[in-house]
Amino acid sequence: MIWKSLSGALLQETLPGEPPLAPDFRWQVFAAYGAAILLLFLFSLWSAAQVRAAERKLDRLLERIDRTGK
Amino acid sequence: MSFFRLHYFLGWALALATLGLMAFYAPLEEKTLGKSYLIFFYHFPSAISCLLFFALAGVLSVVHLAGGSAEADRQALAAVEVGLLGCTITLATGSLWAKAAWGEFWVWNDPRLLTVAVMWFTYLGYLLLRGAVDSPAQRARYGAVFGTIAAVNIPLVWYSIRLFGKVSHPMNVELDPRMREVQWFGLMAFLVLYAAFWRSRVRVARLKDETRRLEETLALRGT
Repeated sequence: MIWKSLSGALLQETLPGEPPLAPDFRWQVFAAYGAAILLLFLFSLWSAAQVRAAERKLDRLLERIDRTGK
Repeated sequence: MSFFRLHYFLGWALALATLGLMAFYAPLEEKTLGKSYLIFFYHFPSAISCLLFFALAGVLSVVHLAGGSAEADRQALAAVEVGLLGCTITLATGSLWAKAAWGEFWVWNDPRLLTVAVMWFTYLGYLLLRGAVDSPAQRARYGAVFGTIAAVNIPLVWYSIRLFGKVSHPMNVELDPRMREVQWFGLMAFLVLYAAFWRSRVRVARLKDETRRLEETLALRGT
């Protein structure tokens, strides 16, 4: 409970020669950023695929309507 | 390049620029939290984005209830989808940060964590409810009622620490100047990206409604 021990939450740059209390999470931080970006990327791919599928279906339906209308 | 693609491209460029600022501009270590504090630069934008999109969904739900606007319903649905994405990232990155800062992935008695988790389940329920109703008009109406009621949770999340007391989350966070610059840049970047997602989801909803309308027309013609 490192943060809880603080009276307030003030984020400050580490002074030289003063090691932080928290464990070194550097690679986890960047891996988590990568995972978040990957999730966002997959979401955008999924959305784009849905747009394409819906557009194709719409085109097919419009063609059918044109044919039946004539 | 269409404006829509440009919007997407800009969102992605800004999100990746945030990563660059984290790595090369912001201080790599914080006095107490060490390098784990860097999570803040994408935890905070995701949290604010999810609250804003859920609030937008609440407003659009009220608009739909007031005037029956189908477009408002589609936009509300898209806002919930994007908000839920942001909320998922907030919970996941928050858990990782909690492990670094508090030594645990989850703290059950923290009001901020609990209210956000409740919000996540509430909006998941919104999507499940919509998926369970067949009639489009009923689906839109139920969704609007649910979306309006669910929006009550947003101020609860925002004021949870003030209302229920501080356990692990701080009341407010102050930052060194360079950290603050990256924080606001990150928020702007993620908002631009989430807005592009929202537009994409609205487009999907419009196309699906149009498809359903045409299918009904064809069914009436007996083809």
